[in-house]
Amino acid sequence: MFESDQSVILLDGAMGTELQSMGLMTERIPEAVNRTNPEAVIHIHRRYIQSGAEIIYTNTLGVNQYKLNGSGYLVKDLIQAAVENAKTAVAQEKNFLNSSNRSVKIALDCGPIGTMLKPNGDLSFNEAYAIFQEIVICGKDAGADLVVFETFTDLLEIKAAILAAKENSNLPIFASMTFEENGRTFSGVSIPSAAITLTALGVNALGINCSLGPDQIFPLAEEMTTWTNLPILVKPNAGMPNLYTGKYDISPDDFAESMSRFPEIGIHLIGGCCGTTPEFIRKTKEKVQTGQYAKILNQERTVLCSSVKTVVVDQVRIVGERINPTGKKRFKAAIADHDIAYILNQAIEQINAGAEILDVNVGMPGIDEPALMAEVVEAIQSVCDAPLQIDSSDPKAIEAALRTYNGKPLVNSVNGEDKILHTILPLVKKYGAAVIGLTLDENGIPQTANDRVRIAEKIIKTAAVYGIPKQDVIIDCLTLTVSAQQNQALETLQAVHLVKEKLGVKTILGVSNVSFGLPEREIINTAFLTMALTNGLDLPIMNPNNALMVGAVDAFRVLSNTDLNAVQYIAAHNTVQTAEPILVPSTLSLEQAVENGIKQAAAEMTAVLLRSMTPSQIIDHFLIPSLERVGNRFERGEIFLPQLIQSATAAQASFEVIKKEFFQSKTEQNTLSKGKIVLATVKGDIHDIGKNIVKVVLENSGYEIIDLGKDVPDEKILETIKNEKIQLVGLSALMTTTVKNMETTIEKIRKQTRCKIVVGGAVLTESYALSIGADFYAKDAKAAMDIAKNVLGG
Amino acid sequence: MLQTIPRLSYGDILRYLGYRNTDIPETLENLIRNCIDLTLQTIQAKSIFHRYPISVLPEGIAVSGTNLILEGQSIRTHLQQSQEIFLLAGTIGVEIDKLIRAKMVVAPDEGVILDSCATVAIETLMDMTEENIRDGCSRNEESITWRFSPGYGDLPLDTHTNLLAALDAFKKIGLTVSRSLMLIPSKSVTAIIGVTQKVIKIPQNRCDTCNKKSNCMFQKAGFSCSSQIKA
Repeated sequence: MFESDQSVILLDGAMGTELQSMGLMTERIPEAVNRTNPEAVIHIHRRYIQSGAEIIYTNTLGVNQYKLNGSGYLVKDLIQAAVENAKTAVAQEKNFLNSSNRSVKIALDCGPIGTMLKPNGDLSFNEAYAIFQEIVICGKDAGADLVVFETFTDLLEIKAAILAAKENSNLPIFASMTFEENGRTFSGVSIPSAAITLTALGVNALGINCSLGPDQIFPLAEEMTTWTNLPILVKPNAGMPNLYTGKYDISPDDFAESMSRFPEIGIHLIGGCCGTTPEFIRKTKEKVQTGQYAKILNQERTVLCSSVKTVVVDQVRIVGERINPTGKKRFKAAIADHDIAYILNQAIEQINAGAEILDVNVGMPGIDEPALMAEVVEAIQSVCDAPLQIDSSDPKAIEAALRTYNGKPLVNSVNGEDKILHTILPLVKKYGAAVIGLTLDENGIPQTANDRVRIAEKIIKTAAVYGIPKQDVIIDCLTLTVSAQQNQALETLQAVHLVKEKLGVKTILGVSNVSFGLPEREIINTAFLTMALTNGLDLPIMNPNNALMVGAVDAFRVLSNTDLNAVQYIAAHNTVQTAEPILVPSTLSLEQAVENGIKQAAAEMTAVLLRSMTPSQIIDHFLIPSLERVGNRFERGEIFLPQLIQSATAAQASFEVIKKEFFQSKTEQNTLSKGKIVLATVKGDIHDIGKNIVKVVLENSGYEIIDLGKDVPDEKILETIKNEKIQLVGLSALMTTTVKNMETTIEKIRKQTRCKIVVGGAVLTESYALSIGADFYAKDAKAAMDIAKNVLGG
Repeated sequence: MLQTIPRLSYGDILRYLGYRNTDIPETLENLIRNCIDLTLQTIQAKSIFHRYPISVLPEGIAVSGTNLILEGQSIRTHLQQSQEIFLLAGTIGVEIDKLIRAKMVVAPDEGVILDSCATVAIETLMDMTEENIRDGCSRNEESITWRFSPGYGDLPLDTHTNLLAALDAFKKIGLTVSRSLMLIPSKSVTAIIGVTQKVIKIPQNRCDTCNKKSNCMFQKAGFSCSSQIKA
């Protein structure tokens, strides 16, 4: 695709604003002009070719199934016509091109779908993929030379587009996103995250287009050059639009002047976006006529990211280990109950405690791990910015997560076994991830450091064969339990040292295993952690809630001269911050703690009460009566919503203590629950705050809540009601449009089950609720409590 | 271009939280003040507007140069004295949605407070935008009607789609609509304002076109909702 002489490649300028100036943008589907007035489109293409453009973009930015829906136009027809128009233009300019010894390539232009993907919108990754798949196949069949995805603001959406292009064609791919002046897209994507992810996905060029003029884009492009070694393209607008007239504010000469600075910072492909004309491109060509771009190659760094946050492994970074059911009964129960909120809590808690990367493992017998893994990764990414480490022994689960992961993740893991290497590494490459290599193979874990280094070497070499660079392989020399194999601790540390020194790759180690079977494990863990860090450990996988171990990392950063002037250390350790805003008097009873909404006191008192009472006694005698009193005060207007929620969360803190104890001993059978309730926001509805408020209150009034989330298909609601033998379902809908869906859902539930239905939502009233067939209308969370009691008792 | 919202009304936030003149513990008041600060740090307020001539057709009010037709009796009444209108749209971005989602998991009390803060923030942004339009009009000795949104009275919600397309709102401010006609980001507003020749004397009570009129929690509590229905 790219010549080796480092010449700047000139792209074309705007199509839309050119058509607009010809009065041809009045139809609802602007790209219909490809068929209604092909001459106009061909004319614009020809003028760009005459101006010096070497790649012209087809007039197809907004052509997709979603936007064309109901217009009478088909994606295939418009793309075919558009590519044909571009080809005709090239053919008509053949003599001109021959005489100047140039050729022109035709890029299939593809913009964002026009509505947002989950979690912000309601479009699923697979739906987005199908939309792009159709576009790519039509473009390929029509004869485009490459595909350009541009003006994207959502990294996951452009990833869907790139995968669709890769899996359905061999067309080269350009991927370009639109940033605001603060260096973020509308959905918060940063320049480093975009550059790292697009590079890892293996596009042919990446870049920035639209929204800003060349001078505003310049610093952003400069930043982008520091995060990729791939060719970069820049297509700015003709300045900034006037707020009142909509006209862009810079001249072709000024534009060309500004554009001439880009090759110097290593930008390979330049052109124009909104407001630019063939004149802008001609002037730009004159300015950079002999221009070669200065190729800047960056040092290879190990870096992971989400769509908004980048973590460079240039110093010790804590990997949170808590999202893992191994040895945790409470976590296993959460997976079995599909309690995603519990997992999200663990994620956020670890980040607040100092984890910068989160390991995610949901493997447990009897579950659909690929489906759950994808769901959990998506859910965590909807609330956390930290990059994730996808931890599974099931290649299907790894692929499911890799496909919809937003950013560049770390895969945990491969080892020296050929079968595993050749199964997992292609996935790592395809989806643009980094990977952990465990130093074991078919023969188990080698006893000596040198043998582990040999396996590490094999993993790194095999990864290279698949095109995975060394910096994207992180080696785990494996921590063994010192109570069983005491001589192995030093061997592991020696292996870490050698891998770091001889192979020059980053290292990772699960720390806590070392102390298994010994008393006061954190003493051993902390000492081992410090020893490992001294030997070159980069990524300790550990419990970030353990203050002593986090303290050891903080101290190491000071002593190894990375936390300069001990700024971070002092900030973290100078003042001990308390989570609760007020100090808790120890005299508070559990009831008082709940009624006043004080979480910590509620948890503490529960622990005390558990010494002399059973979980059910505490729930029946303290928690439920307290919350009922709070509910009544809310109903009478003596307290307002935040206070009701605070009481419910205090009760929740108490429940957490009880559950932990309960799952640990499991002497009672299911006595904690007063009954199961399904909650769901109906199909098409993505506003779930009302449902979540009801959930918090009901869950802590003793009911077991199966929260199906938002935008839930009827089938899923029905299936859950049947499988779990549910007697009460709560449905929520915000708007008149989605209340219609609610009516359909109710009808189906009525036909197939005898489950009672309670509904709520902003536009509903009691009479409206009953008219669409609900049994009950809950105007607020307290009303929902009363209804649950009425139906299920408790 | 990001716009700055200088402050959020504490009273409005309480109102959206269903507050009814009871004592607020100091810790809760502090929490609300912190949530206000956090909201102001997190939001990315952006709004756009444009002026269009209109023509009254049998099927509705056609907005010139766009594919938008405003259907229903309510908007006809609203624009009866106008030959030109402004379309406007505003959003405070997706980051605040994400923050509220995260808080609803770990600290739902903060979650609901932030949700109200965000509602007040988008209303404040739209008030500022309306004020901007009013200032421009008053220089031409014109006046404006209050802002009327899709979903009010019998103006269909699907008006969002063509209104956003007319303003190119997805590209300019990152505002779009889901297949079930919900605005995304969720704290967003689209509206229509009529330009009139002189100050309108007709009483304009927003509650008249509100779908919750018969069942308004604000009215029951003795106040009125100052502006628009928001989730």
